[in-house]
Amino acid sequence: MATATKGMFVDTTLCTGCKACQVACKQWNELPMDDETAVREHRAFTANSYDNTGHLSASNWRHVKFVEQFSEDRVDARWLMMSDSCKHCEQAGCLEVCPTGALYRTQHGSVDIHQDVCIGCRYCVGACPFGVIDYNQRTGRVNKCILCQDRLEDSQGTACAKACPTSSLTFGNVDDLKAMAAERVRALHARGQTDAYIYGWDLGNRGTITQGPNKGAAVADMEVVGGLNVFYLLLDKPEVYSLPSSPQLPQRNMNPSAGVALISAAVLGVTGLAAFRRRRMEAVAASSEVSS
Amino acid sequence: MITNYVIEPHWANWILTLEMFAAGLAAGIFFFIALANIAGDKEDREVAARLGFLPAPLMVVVAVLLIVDLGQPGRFLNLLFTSPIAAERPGPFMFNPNSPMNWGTWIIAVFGIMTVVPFFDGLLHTGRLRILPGLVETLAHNPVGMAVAALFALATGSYSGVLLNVSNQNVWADTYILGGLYVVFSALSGFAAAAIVSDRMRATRTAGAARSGLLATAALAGVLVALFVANLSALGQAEPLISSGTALVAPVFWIGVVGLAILYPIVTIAAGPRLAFSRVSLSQLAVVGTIVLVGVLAFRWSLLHSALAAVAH
Ligand code: SF4
Ligand code: SF4
Ligand code: SF4
Repeated sequence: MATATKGMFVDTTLCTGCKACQVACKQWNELPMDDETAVREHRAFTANSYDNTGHLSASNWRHVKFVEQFSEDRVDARWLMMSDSCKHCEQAGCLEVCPTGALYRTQHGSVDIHQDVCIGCRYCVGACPFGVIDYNQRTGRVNKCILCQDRLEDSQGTACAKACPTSSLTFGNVDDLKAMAAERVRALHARGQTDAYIYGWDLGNRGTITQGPNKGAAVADMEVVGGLNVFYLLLDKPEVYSLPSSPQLPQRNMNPSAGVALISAAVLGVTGLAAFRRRRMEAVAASSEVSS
Repeated sequence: MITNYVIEPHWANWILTLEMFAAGLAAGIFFFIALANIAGDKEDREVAARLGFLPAPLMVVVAVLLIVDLGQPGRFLNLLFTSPIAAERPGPFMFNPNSPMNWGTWIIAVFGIMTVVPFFDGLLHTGRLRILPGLVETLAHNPVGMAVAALFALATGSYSGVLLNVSNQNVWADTYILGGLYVVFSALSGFAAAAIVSDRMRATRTAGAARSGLLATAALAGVLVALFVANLSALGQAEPLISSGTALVAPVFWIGVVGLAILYPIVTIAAGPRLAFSRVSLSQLAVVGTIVLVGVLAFRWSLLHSALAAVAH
């Protein structure tokens, strides 16, 4: 039975980069290390601030991003942190293209994977606009955050949100979370933090970036791919957080591409038949040459 | 920093390159067989019967390569039949209209079955095996049936291009020409194979049709490649085709695709002796066919690797 759509509101202004969410995710979902040997041999250092996984992957379903920004004279600095995961998109590119039904929408509105149905074709990997879902070399299938489906079935929230000590991650009904986010942006704007806006839904907020290389640029709430059930409060342009500025559904070119293929096939059919017909006409011409 | 595209390195490999090449070649050869049976004469049908030996084994190669790539043969059935685990999907047959891979699965399944007809026709014509000769003759030479089969062949040739278009990968995602490009290169490889087999059989008249088909298809491929490059340039995404660093996509694209598959047959055929009757240069056409096949392989490789080259850039 379908219930109210569940999701998470990620308020990046509250994130301290403690990575409790990353650890909780690993622990609850029993996710292995990407490269244990590299860690043992001290080769796993990303050299990118305190980032230790670099990106989301089949075994890192949550990733805390660190963005360090300095003014040219290096007097002013700010540190942006964001805990990232699958967005459980309202229109999920991964789910749209899956040819086996392995990816599916749960009764909670999240996007989950039937591991026993997945054939490891990786089509979803190239289709997700956010580069979230990943191929698992160990299993030959794909993995990503599944919004703790097992916990949700037991009426619990997600493990990451439960572990977050600052409420940067809040789990709940998406409608309630949207109201909470709108309230939070209003409060930040009132305090002079006019760069706060929402990535995922358009709740009507507009602002100006106050710090960093994009200082002075306008920002506004963005509804993307029909809305994100895991959505973000950001303080700078999406690209700064390695989020796409204009994520698109993969099917946008399906009909035009099929149309060009059809036209090309029609031209091929006509020219192919003409190739045989022309040859026949040449034969007639040659035989009349011989007889004359 | 590129943030509107994602990186899927697992698609850029030789197994998928060869799989797409083999499927495209099977489809292109079948297309030629259908044309020969619809519009050709006795000699064309003789050549078509010999060519008929190729599509079915090529489709078996495609299946083997897919199994090697995915490593889970048992699960292929999940592409055709709804798994009981995927209870959210309606009906016993798996069909997701938004997924070109699902369209492709059904198209390939039907086309794969169809390739059996020219195979048995080849056995019949060469006197090696006579299984239901009346039925095979009817199926293999019925113009309406062959026209339908040609449609499935062309769909097999094009679907992987549409599949790449329907993604969020660099180079592939924002153009809409790949479906057209893939079907044209598939037909090009079919005409190339027909040119080679015509040479082996000393079938001068059929070679004339293969020659005209090669010329027209290479010209069409040239138009589509020009549109593709112009389209990518307008989108600001042509970089991997111009200088792809260590990824080698640019040289393979310009030398292999533009040079060998398009310009070489156009220049050789247009400037060379006319391949008709007494003035035939069959072996020269066979060389053109072989070189075009190398060019088509370059096309498959460079297109699959272009998305990755864009990221490496
Ligand atoms: S973020 Fe990607 S993987 Fe997650 S639901 Fe959206 S499209 Fe699918
Ligand atoms: S890899 Fe699995 S989940 Fe992804 S599209 Fe293929 S079958 Fe579906
Ligand atoms: S647990 Fe909360 S504060 Fe800590 S990194 Fe995760 S989101 Fe940020």
